[in-house]
Amino acid sequence: MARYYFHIKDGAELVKDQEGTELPTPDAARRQALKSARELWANAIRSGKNLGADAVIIADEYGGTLTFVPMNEVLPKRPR
Amino acid sequence: MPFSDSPNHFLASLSARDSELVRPHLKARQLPQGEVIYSAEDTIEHVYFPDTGVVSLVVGLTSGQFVEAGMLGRNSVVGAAAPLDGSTALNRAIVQVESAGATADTAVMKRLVKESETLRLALVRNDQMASAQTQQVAACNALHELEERLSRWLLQTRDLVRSDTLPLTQEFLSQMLGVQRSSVTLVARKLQEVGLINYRRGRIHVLDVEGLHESCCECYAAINGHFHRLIGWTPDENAHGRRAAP
Repeated sequence: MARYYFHIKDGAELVKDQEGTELPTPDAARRQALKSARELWANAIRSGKNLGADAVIIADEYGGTLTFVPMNEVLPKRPR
Repeated sequence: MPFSDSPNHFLASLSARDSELVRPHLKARQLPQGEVIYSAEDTIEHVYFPDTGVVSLVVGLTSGQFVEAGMLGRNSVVGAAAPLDGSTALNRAIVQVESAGATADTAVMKRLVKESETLRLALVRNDQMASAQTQQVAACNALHELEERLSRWLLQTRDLVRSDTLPLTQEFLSQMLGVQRSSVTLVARKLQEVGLINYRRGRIHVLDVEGLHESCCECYAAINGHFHRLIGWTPDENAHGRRAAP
């Protein structure tokens, strides 16, 4: 288990996750970030308010960025 | 001697006679944050009368997720239905903010409600109140936005702990509200930007109570209406002397 932090990038601003979450693998952290990004979209669509996020950034406990999930990559694909 | 000076509203509201019945059976109890008082389908062995802190009633799903359906504290009783032949728990009661109070054995309380109709009715009203609250919260969870729900939740918690400082992690908040932690991060940032709260790791400070009233949904007032009608409880003045909305 390791602690992962899910910061939110909003323009020039970084909204820091101050607590982090214990997760078993980097893969689990990425799945968590995907879920979070989708929920942020859902909240914004439902409320009609600003999304307030460009990407969910996954960081480790030393503050290093591991990867990031851009908001526009998490939307469901249109069926062909 | 009635319990008129008890910090617990249920005990404080009992008649002198009912107080005499209950008092010899009370045992002091301290419950740390995170303690599970009972889980769904458990037999409720003790009725708990909190003086301080907050107990959440949560509904668990097989995925391991759970969501809060209501909260109780110094205003009420945890397990009010148990002495009324409802001793099988319908949900999980978990300590959200460290709590001190008193317990009484369900078996003893069952006997006492046979001796006193007024004591039985007091428990019935508290059970109805818990049910009214969970119904309101069900509607709130389904239809209201996270910002409104979080504001309602902070106001309710603040009323029970009588403090503007709430010892709550975002992890816990997100579990109670049934959302991802990132959603709480963004909404908390917004409330912080407009000066309603200040969030520090593991601690939320309420800065502007009137502002939180404006950002919350009707459910806060509706739940307090149920509290008032069914058990005669209204959130009182806080540490800063401001009054919560009726």
